[in-house]
Amino acid sequence: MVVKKNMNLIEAKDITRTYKIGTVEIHALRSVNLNVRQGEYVSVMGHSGSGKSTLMHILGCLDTPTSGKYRLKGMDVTSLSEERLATIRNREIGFIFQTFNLLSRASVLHNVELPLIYRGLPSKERKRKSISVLENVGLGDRINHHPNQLSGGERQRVAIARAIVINPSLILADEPTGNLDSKTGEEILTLFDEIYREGNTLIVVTHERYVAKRAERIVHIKDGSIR
Amino acid sequence: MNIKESVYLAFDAVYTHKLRSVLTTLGITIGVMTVIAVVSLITGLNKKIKGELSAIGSNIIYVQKYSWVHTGGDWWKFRGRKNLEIADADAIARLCSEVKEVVPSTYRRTTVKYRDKNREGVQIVGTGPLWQDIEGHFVEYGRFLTNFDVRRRKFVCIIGDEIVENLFEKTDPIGNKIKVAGNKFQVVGILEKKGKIFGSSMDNIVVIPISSFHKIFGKRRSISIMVVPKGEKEKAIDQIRGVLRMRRKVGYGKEDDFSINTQDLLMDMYNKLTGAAFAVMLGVTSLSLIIGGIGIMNIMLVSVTERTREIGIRKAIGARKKDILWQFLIEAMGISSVGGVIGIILGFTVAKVISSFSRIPSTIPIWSVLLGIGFSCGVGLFFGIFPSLKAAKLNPIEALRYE
Repeated sequence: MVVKKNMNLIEAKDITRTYKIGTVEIHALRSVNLNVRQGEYVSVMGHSGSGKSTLMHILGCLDTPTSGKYRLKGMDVTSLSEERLATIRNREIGFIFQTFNLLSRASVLHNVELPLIYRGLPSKERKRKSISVLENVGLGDRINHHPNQLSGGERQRVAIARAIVINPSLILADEPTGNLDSKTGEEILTLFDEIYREGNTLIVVTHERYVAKRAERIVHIKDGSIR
Repeated sequence: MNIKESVYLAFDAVYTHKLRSVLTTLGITIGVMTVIAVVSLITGLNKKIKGELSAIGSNIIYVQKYSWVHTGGDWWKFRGRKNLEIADADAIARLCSEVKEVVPSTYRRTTVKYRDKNREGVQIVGTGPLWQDIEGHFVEYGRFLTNFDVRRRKFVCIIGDEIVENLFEKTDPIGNKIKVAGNKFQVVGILEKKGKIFGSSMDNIVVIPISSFHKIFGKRRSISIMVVPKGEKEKAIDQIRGVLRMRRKVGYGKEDDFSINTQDLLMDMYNKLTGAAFAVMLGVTSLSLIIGGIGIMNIMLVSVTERTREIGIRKAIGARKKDILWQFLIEAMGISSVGGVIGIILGFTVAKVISSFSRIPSTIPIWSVLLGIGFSCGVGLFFGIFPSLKAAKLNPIEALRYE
């Protein structure tokens, strides 16, 4: 799918997400509207419990809104089946988590290959792509290590490699520096800058101002609403 | 995700938890081991027994006082029966149109002497010229009995291989005289070596005319009448029963006072026996496979819980339900097939050990190996379904949050 620059990659309209815990209804998101252009770097800022994680889950097709409409690359993904959403995540979305979320038993290379395995790419092509991406993030000499042999910063680089190896339309990062010291965090943010400059669309969810400020645009979220 | 990847993942998981996997699959191991051991022993035994039974001759009818197959309580019934005599054999030969050959014979164990050497417990067979055809035990040197020998009550004998070896080292037995229960018999022939059937030697034998047998041992013992039918065995049996019931004055509706034995009778009994062994095996096996299956289900549930986060990660990066389902199903099958393979190896070992102690032969039929692997994979598949479905249905967000 070819997407023109400046076209809206994300169009979220009146997104509401309500959880039911027992008889109590919790409104995690209330009528959220958000548009993100292709190639934009946006940060979503808010305190814990503000609904920023729920927003990220919905934008990342891990969750579906209770009401409202969400279009990704012009396609309505609001009411797709679980299987279709999995395929979209696999092809369009790269996740980066606070706790890295790598498979501890698998090698660095296998971790990066994983989304391509689910895509059904042949082994040779998988390896070639993964190694080239790992070299780009500066881990070309670590491909056979296991995550527990790496530092926190290196682990996050593996996670970033896993996110960008699929050439995603959207990269979603949830507190990417939350588990790192400030120097390593800075390195990761510099890597994000590079990824952004290459034309990727990034959304970073954070509660820290210095992280949020790196983006083109900051979106504040509070009590489930965007201000 | 392709199968190769799933299999790799499954065996990686099994390898990571070596001890746990082996313990889990113990039930499967025991089940498969039982199947393999029993099957290989029974098929080995089958081969041997059927080989020996066929030596009896599938088509020969043995008319005897005692039945080959009886329970302890029947013994007195058989003992009270009138003996079978040469005259009965003659009557069968004369009156039954479906009968081709009739060979009366009678047996006794006694001591045989040649000069200063003697051998105890030799089987003396009193019979006629057709014995060797019916028994399939032929003369190798010299000649067999003739009708003339029988009619004239000649003291001639044909001896088995063991008698030759034990009594005559270097001398040629033919023409020499041996003493059977004190009576001198001239050796006229030597039988070919036959080996053992059901553990008793066929070569420790001296064959003499039945008339001479009766002359030296008397007629107190019942004879066996071996009958070769012309066509169908059943027709011949019907005629023989008719003739004997009439001769022996068995009243209408009363039971025969003689027994008609055939190879089928032994076959039936043998099949019943092995059938029982198979039934017991089936019980043990299905029980241990069920227990093994529950063990696998249990450990897979543990594994799914332990790896909730992993499942969350996989789902976040695009694993579909069926990818997760197959990953865990193949892992369950992997664990149980490891048990199956161990079971197959142990089963053959057990069979070999038993056969080396008991002389029951064991063979390895390829279908039992396939059966063992098939069973264990099947159990893994069946009992893996529930945990795998549980894994596949996990919500990715909750799974990612799981600590």
